[in-house]
Amino acid sequence: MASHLQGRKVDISFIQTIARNNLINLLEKCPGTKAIVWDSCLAGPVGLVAQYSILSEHQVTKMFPLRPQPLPENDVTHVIFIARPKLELMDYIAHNVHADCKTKSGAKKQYHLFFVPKKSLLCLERLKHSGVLGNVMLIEEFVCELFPFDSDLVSMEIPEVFREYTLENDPTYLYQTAQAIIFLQKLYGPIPRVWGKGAAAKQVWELVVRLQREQNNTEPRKTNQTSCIDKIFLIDRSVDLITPLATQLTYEGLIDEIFGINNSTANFPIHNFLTTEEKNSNTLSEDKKQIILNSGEMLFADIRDKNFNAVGAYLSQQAKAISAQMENIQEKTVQEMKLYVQKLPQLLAKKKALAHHTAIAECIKEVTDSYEFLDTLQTEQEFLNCIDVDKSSPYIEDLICQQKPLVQVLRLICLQSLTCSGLKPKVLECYKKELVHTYGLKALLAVTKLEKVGLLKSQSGARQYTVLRKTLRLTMEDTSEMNPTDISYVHSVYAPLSIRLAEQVTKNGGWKQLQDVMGLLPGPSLDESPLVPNSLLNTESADGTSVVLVFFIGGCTFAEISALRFLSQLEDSNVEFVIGTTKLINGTTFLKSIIESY
Amino acid sequence: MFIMQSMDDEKSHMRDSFLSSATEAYRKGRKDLYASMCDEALKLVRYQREIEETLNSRNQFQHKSLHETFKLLLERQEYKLADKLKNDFKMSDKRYFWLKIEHMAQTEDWQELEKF
Repeated sequence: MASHLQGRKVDISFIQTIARNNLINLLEKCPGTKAIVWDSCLAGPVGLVAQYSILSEHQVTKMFPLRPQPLPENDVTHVIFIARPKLELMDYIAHNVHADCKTKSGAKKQYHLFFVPKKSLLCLERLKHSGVLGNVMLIEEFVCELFPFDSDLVSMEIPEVFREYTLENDPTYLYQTAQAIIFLQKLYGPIPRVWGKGAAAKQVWELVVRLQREQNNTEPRKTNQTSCIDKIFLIDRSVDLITPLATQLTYEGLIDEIFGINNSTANFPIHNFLTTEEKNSNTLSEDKKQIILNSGEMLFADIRDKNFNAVGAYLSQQAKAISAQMENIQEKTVQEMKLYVQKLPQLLAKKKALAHHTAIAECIKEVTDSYEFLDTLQTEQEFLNCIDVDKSSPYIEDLICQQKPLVQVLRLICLQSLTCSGLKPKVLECYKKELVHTYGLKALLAVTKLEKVGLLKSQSGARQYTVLRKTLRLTMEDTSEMNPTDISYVHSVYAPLSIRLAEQVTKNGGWKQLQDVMGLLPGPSLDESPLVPNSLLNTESADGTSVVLVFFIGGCTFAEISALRFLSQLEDSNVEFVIGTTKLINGTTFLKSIIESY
Repeated sequence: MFIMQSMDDEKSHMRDSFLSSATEAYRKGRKDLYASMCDEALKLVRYQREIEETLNSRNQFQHKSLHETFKLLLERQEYKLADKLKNDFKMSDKRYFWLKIEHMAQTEDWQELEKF
């Protein structure tokens, strides 16, 4: 059932089972029919742990999104709100409960509230204040720190982490991140080696150590789990702001850039998926096609990490292979025939998957062939190669004058600012003026926020990026997109800085050879080996590979994940990566999470 | 910075005072660029009100940026007013040309475009 989560040394399906059991236990506390009201940013991720079929086994008959409007008419005995501890959501809940009490069936109903992952006093106060705390029977915590995405990927799905920490100096989410890491250690054993870079990374690890000490004092250590994870590498997003801004060019990355992937599903315009007959019939009401994307599907597992230019060739090759298999049936013996029939369902499934991905690839190609996409890409690559970064870019000016989406423009400006280690004051001023002329003063608010976070700044002294580019080989000229030899294939020219660090650290076993470079990056670095009882140590497994957990605080992109997967597949590599992140991001969602005010 | 938020609420009758206090705050904080931008925004709001009166169209120009205002003027074929706007607000030539060309293409005024 959860086949896409298993099959690695670290079995991610544990996380799914635990979270699911937690939820079911909570649901069983309320016997009878139930309606669940979801905080809209949770419904998707929780779907990764417990599908609707499981919920309906436990008498969940209705599901609603949590909105300011009152609930639709319903006749269940329990109404369960599942929400993040956020104040504005409490107001919605209070409003909903009030309105629902007054309906005919309201008197018999019971209301419950489950917080994910923690209760918050502030929220309870807020409920008391609006006078509904008495109506809410059960207030529980649905502990689910991490949502399982794939056999090597877990995410906390909190988009605000970076914003809260850097913009508002609020470390609440770092505490939650630390909790998540502790949870992982409980499950997979203590981690004997730690590296980290960036202020947030350091703070998270200090919290982990302290919280663990507290826990060990209260309850004697009883885990005798041997360590499944050998090393952990914590990276603060503010160490590498460049990577999320560059356009991802892997298959999965492009799907995310263009259509957006949420909780492993993406929506595509439907017209590419229909055969001509279906197109003519016009009976379909939906105009979106939803597809689940995870490594449970063999074909997608094969192509998700490839550069998009290599995907087309691979797909057509697969298509040929399948049709070859399906065609020569005539010359087969009965034995062979039997085998063939056994394989048939598999083949058909594969054929269907192939059709889907060909359609997706066509959708992407429409975009990647457009002049706009190519021009943007070219500008990005010039910046990354430090060409013309000092001048105000005419392309950006054109974009502003054409009133392209604000985020798209800011993304390029930020990239320029980062690659030249701060824009010249004059250039920055000029951009600001143009931005305000086109988008009004709201652009100024956005710019102010970006400056505070460090994505935009005016030039000051040292040129970190030019040095980093050389020492870490961040840009490579001649990488093959078909048969990549270096991680820079994920952005075609540029190798993600964060992953270069991970590469160096795991190869050399530490920072030693990187000392000069580390000084150029913001924040302290972390290098520790916590004491772990020898009995728990994983005596280097037979094949000599070690498992490294790379945890991104503030989000990571699909391209970075692809790059890590690529590294572990290299011939001389002996590491297996598990990736943890606070949220899966791309440049656009990343900037939006910073700019948008709420 | 606090005033940015109050200004963002855009309560229409209060906008002028918010904007001018924002300008003040920026000037105190020695951010001349921002101060002048706020000043300009204020000027724009007043200008928009003026246009609305002369063109007798209520609430069509408010809450629009300079760019959008200009575009709207072009759409209503108020070329003189548009040119005046350009000069008053020191609009960059590039933007001016882009807007002009875009407008001509939209109205399919190919002859005019040829001359341009």
